Amino acid sequence: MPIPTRQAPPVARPRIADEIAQMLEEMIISGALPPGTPLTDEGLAERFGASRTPVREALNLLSAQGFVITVPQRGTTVSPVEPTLFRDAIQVYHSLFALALAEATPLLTVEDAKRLTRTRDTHLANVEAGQASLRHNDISDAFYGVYFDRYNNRVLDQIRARVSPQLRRAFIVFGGRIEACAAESQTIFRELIDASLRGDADAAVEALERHTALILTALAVEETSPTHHTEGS
Amino acid sequence: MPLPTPRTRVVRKTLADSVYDDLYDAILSGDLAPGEILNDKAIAETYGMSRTPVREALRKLSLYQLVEMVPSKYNRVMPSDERSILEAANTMYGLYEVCVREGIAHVDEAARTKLERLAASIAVAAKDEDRRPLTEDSYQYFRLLAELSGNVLLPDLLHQVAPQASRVLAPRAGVSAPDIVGKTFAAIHRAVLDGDRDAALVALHTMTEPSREAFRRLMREVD
Repeated sequence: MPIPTRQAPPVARPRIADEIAQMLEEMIISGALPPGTPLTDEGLAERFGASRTPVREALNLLSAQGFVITVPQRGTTVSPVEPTLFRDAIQVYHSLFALALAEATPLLTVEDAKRLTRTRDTHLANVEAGQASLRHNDISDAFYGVYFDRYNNRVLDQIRARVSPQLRRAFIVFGGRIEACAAESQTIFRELIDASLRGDADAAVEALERHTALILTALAVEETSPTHHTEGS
Repeated sequence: MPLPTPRTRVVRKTLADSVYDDLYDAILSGDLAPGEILNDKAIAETYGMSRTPVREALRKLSLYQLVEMVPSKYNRVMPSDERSILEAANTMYGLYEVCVREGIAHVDEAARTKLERLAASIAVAAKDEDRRPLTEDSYQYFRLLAELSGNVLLPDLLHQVAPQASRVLAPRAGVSAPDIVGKTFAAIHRAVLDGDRDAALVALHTMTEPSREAFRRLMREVD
C-alpha cells in the first residue's frame, strides 16, 4: 500500500446539508413552501441556524431533484408544480411498479398475502365508504411496498425514492382532479390484488395498465411538445 | 445539475479523458476485476503523466459507481456482485419501457435519422462483440426516445443507472450475450420505426427476459 504523499481530501460532511435539504423537501411537498417562494442563502441560514455553505449544498441537492429552480441573478425559488410533472412521475412509477408486480407476484409469501388481503378488505373498503380519502401515502406501504419489498431490487428502490417525493407533491396539489375516479380506481386495485393473489401476474399488470390510464385520463394533461436536447453539448 | 453523459464524443480529448476511456473499457470488459486496486501512481507511470489527470479520471468513474475511492486508503474497481449488476440492468430495462412507451409516438424525421444511425452502429457492435459502443449506443438510442417523450424525469434517471447496468454485458455476467442483444434489439428498432408501440414493448420484453430470469434464479438461491 503506497503511503499517500499528498494531504488527504477533506472529509465530506454532508449531514447538515442533508438535514436541511430533507426539511425543505418536506415543506415543499406539503405546500408549506408554495411554488414561487424565494429561498435565499441568508434567510435559510438564519432559519436553520446554519452557515451558508450547507444551505447552498442543500439547495443544489433540491435543484437536482427538481424541487427548486435557480436562475442566475434572480436567485432560487420553489419550482412550480405542473400537471405534466405529475404525469411524468406517474409514467415512471408505473413502469417501475409493473416490473416489481410482475416479478414479485410468483414470490408472494403467506404473510404478503395477508397484508394485501388486509389492504383490500379494510383500507380500500374505507375509501369506498368515503371514510378515507384516496391518498398515495396511505396505501403506498400497505400496497406498493409489499411488491417492491418482495421483488427486493435495491437499485429500483433507489430510483423509486427519487420519484416518490415528486409523486407525493403532485398528489397533494392535483389529488382533487382524480377524486372523481376514486371508486373506479378502487375497483381496479381490487382486481389487481386478486389477480396477483391468484398468481396471475399478467392479469395483475393488465389491471395496473388500466389503472394508470384511468388516472392519466382524469388528470387530463395536455400533450406537451417533445423537447429536443442537443446531443454532445 | 445533470451530470455529463458517460460517453459523449469529445473532439479534444484531455489526458484525463483518455485514462477514463481506457479504464471504463477495462472495467466493462472485465479486464479489471471488481475489487481490483487502482493505484493512481502506478497508472500515472504507465501513461507517463502526472497523477492529477489520473485522479480526475478516477473521480469521474466514481461518480458513475464504477470506482470506489476511499480517501487515504485505496481506489478500487467498485466491487460488483452479480446481484447489483442484475438489479441495475433490470431497473434500466424498466426505464427503457417508459422510453419506448412514451417516446414512440413522437419519432419525427430528424429523430428517425438519428435512431437509424444508432441502430446501424448497434448492429455492427453486436456482431463484433464490441461492448463499449454497444452499451453507449443502446443508451443513446433509448435516451433519445426519453427526450422525445418529453418526460422531464426520465433522462436523469437513465443517466443514474446506466454505468452499473452496462456491466451486465461484461463477459463474466454472461446473461446478455452481445449477439442476442443485437438480434432482439433489431426487432425493437423495426417496431419503433413502424410506430408500433405494442410490438416494441414485446420485443423489449424479449431482450430483457434473460436478465430478469437471471435475477429470479439468483434470488431463489439466496432464499
